[in-house]
Amino acid sequence: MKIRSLLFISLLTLLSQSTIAQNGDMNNLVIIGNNIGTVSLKKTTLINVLKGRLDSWNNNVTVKIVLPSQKNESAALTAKVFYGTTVKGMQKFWLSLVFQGRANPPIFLDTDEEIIIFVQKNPGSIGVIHEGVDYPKSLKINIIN
Amino acid sequence: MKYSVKRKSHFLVILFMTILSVTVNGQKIETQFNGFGHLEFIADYSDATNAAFAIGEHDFFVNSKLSKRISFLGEYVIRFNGKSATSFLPSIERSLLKFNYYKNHNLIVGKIHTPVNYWNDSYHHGRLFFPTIDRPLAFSYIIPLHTLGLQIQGQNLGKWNFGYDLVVGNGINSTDGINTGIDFSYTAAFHIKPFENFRLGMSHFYEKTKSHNPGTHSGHSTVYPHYEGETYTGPMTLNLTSASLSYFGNRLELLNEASYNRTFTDSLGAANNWSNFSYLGYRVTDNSIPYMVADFINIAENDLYVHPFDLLKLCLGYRHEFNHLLSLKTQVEYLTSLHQHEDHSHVQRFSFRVQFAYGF
Repeated sequence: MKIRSLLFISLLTLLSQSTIAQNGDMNNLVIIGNNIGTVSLKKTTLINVLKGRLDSWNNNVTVKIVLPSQKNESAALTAKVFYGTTVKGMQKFWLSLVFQGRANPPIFLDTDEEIIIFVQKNPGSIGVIHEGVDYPKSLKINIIN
Repeated sequence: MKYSVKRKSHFLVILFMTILSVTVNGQKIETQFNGFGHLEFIADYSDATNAAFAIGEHDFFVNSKLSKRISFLGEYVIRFNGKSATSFLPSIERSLLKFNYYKNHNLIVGKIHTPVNYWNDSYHHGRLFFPTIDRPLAFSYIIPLHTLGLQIQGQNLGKWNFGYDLVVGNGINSTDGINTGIDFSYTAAFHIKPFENFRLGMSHFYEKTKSHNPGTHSGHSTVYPHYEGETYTGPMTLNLTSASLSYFGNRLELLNEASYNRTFTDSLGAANNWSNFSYLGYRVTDNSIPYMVADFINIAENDLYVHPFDLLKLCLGYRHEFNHLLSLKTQVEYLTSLHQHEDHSHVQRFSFRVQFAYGF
């Protein structure tokens, strides 16, 4: 009985350790969006969106995710903050999810400027850029913890 | 005449390529092509010793957004087949249109992998995503791999990320083009993902057939590798209940696939079959995952669907992920059948296997 309890507790500990994944510093990142039906999102909702768990916004516009590609300096931080993993891990996550047929692929862009232009042109799109880059303030999405 | 036919076919190929390239260029962002494949080395030690290098399945995948709400997904596989003139045969493994009609609810029509368990719903033919070298044993016998039909799907609903899949489609006797009679199969599957990287699911598959003549949709569509007797072709009722538990965290990886299959025939009554696959892996470093597998299947003495049979597979393995597009797996396996059955070849062997799995 003691061994069983010990095994159960060990398993829970391992699970909880692995679950605490999203822990990077989000202050260095900015979320921008275009016609997503809101100007603010809860952090948990944002993570769900960026993990492909939302097909359309409350205003019925289809979600389009724009992420920094491996060449973009924000990629590592984005992967850490929102996916709890490395850039390779984030790429594998999306490759696997798209292959499952459970989400449409996100768009990976090399520079923040490209991400901003894409979001400006595409209603329903949401993107991640680095803090300090110039962007139209009307695109900013406030994140609530 | 021959020349003309050849010219025509060249013209058609060029035309097709041109249309394809224009289409792809026009939708550069909306269409994604991928390829997946694997190469293996296998050494078996039983009564005789055999060793060989092998080319595994090669899988071409396309996902394209056709409109705001409709997308297409296709998965086309070329695999070794000794009976083919070229030693390889192509097959359409998935080909479906998905209509996102409301929020996270979709209507899907086409050929799918029947969403009876986590493995069949997630890994499909991409060995790169498999945590081990092979599918669970049950996939060769009692799991109805494919369904061609209509699916209603919901996912990531509510706090627990609830998901459902309801499917009606051609039965296991049908092929991708012909269905004799009106024997449809029905699948209901549900899952929850209450926390990150964890999924718990259950499903039920039901079909009542007037005759038993498995086509390309069934799990055991090729041959019964273990069975040497006469095949039953009469009416049958099939029920398959499955439960899946999966956790793929940053370190720990767990997967358990359990299935209970009940077949009913007028001649021998109800037969109770079951299988269980357990996988446990631990990510020692970012790239290195040692793992172990215990896989068992038992088919009852009075079963006429697969025919009496049992098999136990134990594995120790190691997976090295070079990056998200390349992995190397090595596996030491022990495979044995615990009981003797009529018309049943007894199995006992050790194997050593190496697999390179890649995607691009």
